[in-house]
Amino acid sequence: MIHAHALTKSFGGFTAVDAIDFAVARGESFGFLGPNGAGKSSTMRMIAAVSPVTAGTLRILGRDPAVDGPVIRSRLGVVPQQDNLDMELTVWENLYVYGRYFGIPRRALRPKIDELLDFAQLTERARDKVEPLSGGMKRRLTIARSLINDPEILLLDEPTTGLDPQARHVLWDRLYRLKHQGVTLVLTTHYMDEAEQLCDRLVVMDKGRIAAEGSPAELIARHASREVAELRFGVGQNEAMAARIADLAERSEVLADRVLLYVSDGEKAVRMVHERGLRPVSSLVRRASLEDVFLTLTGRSLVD
Amino acid sequence: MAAGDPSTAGEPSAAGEPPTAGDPPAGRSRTGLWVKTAPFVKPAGGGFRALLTYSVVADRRYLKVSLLSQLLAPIAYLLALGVGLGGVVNHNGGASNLGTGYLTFIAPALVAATAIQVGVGEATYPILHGGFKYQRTFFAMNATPLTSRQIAAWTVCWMTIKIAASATIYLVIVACFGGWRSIGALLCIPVATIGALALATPLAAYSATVRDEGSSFASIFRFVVTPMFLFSGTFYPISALPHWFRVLAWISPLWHATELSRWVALGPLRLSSDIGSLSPGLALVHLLCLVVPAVIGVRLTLWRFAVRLAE
Repeated sequence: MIHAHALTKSFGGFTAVDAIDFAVARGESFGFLGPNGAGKSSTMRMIAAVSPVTAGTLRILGRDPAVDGPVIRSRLGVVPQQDNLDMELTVWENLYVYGRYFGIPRRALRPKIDELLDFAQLTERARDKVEPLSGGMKRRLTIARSLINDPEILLLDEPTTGLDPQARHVLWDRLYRLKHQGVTLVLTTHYMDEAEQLCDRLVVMDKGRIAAEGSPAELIARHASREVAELRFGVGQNEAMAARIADLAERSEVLADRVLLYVSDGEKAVRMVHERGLRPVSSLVRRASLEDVFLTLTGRSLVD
Repeated sequence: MAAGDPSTAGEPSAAGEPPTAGDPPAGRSRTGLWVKTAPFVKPAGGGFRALLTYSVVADRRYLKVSLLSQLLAPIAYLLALGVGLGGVVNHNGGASNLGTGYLTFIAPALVAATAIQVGVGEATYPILHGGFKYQRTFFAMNATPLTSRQIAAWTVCWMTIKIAASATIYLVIVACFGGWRSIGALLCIPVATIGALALATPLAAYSATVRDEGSSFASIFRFVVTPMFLFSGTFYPISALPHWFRVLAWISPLWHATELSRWVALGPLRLSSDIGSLSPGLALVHLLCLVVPAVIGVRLTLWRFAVRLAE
């Protein structure tokens, strides 16, 4: 469905996307994971056939977005990072007008809008203006709107950012249904749980490049240990203690409040720490997650 | 469920592609829902018809308020200036100097001035705030088959329709006040519209370019629109101003529009003064002074919309 080779996007002297390769197959659910500024949104806007490619090749549904932009867009559904609903229009009008942009006649739109309102659990709000709706409702409306043309690919740029946990779970439920129906989903996120829930395969992006690619399980196996032991030695002591136990792990990391040991057997690592006569205030063993992969690959420093 | 009459469905999915695991269950659309719209989707999109639908749906809720202000403003101006101030002017020799009553003198100019105000209003906040910055309506449109060119062109078209509509309403009110003197006054509508576009289209390009308007829009109203209103021969012939000051009129689209507006409305009356008389050559110069900036403005708008939407 999507093929990118050496895909590059520059703004002036700044390279937002730096010669990346990826491909998305039909029915697949594909994720771009990465910190802010990694180039996810720039990539999404190129796939959405609105932002021109600076260099490299990009084919969407077998077509070149530079040549066939409108045709490609007629077969895509787009959920942008920032909602761009019309606040002054009603829920129904937002869907109707958007459908008209695709050239869909009124008689075909009416039943579709009824169905989408039901899908997005917004039937009761059909005649209400968008403005007073909650963030979760607006997001569901944006997703409903993106389905108005029966898209072959659904592009979701940070679909649940800024929503409360309940709203996120409702949204995941809706997206999961679409995925289950075989809709090709391409999404960006910086939530690991979202990526693990929704993505069959994902790439981790950092500074415009792809740092890793695979299924969530593969990435954890490849870039993190099986388990992580978290040891708290108390403020000010972690640094010194880490130096004395680093050899017990494949890799270790010192944070302000704790030391992380990346190991295959967490319980055993904790036991060995105790055998050395060290007494952490508390210790916790957990399975490695996609979050560990993410932080390993993209670092802990804050990107604004 | 409310939806689905499957009989409205046509051929699913793109023809010729082999079925894969991603295929929807039989009878369903590609998204697994029942109602199929894919067969109705036009690869080139809904074009201007769809954009017209949007503009009508979006603006109809303001119709009453906007009609009311479009009716009240000319009534207030014509009462205050045409009847009130006009009474004083006419009784002090103004009418004989101008060759006609003061109301007849200012009416064509007021039509042009109002058109410019409407144009400036349409070319600023709705484009930056509604289109690009807060509601981001233009980005929503551009995610569909609609192109930046269609969006920009329609924005100018809809602006033009609203300017022409307000000029038409103004003329009707002028007629009610007895200021309609010749059939030529009908041409005030296109003249006022072109005059407004001469300022509004470059401004639309500017609105599509700025990130944050800061005080620039307020400054445009304060330092461009208001002075233009005062010094473009709306209320008195600019020959009443010092010579060096008249030069400024040449850069004012409102002055060119006012000259042309009086020419089409009052010219046929052959007044005893030179009000409303223009040589065909000078009329053409005035017209070019409006058409050239309007054409450049449209081109700039198409360009700036394309750049902003491609970010």
